[in-house]
Amino acid sequence: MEDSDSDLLVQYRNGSVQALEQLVERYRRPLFGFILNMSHAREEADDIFQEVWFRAIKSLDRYRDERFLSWLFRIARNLVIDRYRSRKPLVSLESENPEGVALEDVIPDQGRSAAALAADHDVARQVATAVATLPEEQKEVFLMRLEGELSFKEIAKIQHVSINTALARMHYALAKLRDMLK
Amino acid sequence: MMNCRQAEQRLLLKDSGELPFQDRLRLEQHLAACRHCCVYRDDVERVTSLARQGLPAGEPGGRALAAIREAARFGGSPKAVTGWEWCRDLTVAMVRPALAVAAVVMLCLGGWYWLAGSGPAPTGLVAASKQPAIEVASQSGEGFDDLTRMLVEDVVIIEGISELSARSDISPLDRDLLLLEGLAI
Repeated sequence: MEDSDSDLLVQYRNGSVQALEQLVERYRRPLFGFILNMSHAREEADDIFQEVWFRAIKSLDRYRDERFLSWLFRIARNLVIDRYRSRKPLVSLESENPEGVALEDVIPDQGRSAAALAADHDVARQVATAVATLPEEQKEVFLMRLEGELSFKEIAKIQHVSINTALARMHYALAKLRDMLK
Repeated sequence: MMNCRQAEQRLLLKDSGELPFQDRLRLEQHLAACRHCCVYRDDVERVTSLARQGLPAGEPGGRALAAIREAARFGGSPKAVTGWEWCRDLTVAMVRPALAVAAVVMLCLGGWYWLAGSGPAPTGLVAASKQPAIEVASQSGEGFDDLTRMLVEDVVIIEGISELSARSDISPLDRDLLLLEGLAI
């Protein structure tokens, strides 16, 4: 049976580096996925990912009864905000996707059916590009749900808002992304 | 009766596993009778699935993982040490005790000179120590054998190294080189 997060943390506190390595391995994908999609740059994502762990290791004493992944996401979110606070949004509707096409132009015509679009692999990329244009708070909620499968209660706690606000942010994000299917 | 706005919110909560059983039943009842909310549910599933396919996915780089592993060993403070830094630290660690020994030897010699100087008629090495050190080192006078002369020469050089390495205006690299020279002596 797999050790729980708390078991691994106890083992790490008792000197087992392997226990922490197991935790890194366990949460590598969701955490890195969140950071990568919040930062949009591979190298920066690497930096933030390792910084999240440095901070987590340093402040393990302050870690209290909270899901470990949720705590990591909280640290990651704060680091992303610190890093990009002074910068303008990285992607806008006027910006171009990797193929050099303005995002406005890839939003599909109303005439095409949702089923036909869903079958098209490009739509997935278009939706992903649209995710990047979401307001930061909505994007955070969407990615925390998608990558980390955090509950709305956890997301609300991380964003310091009510559950209803977190739900509303997800609702608005989905409404914008649904427009891609119409 | 649940309205569509409430149903949409509850669909999200159901997906995250936060919807109580009773509310889930009410939601199912609403969905059975509301085509609009069924379309919403299907669209949300589709968008989520498409985003999962389209969003860039990746793994953290090996260097980041190695740095985390290192930090785990040092309690969150990664210590990236280059080969040159490692060699320098090792050398300095070896040279420092040697310099300490040299300092003790110099103190002993100094004490010996002083004690001998306060006695009767200075001769040999004691007499030589009254002259400038360089002159003493080059002297080949009576009672001043080769071994003693070499020792005095080394003391003179180590004194010079100590003075130089204590100066604040020399670079760490120069200081390390001086320490190495001291060790060689």
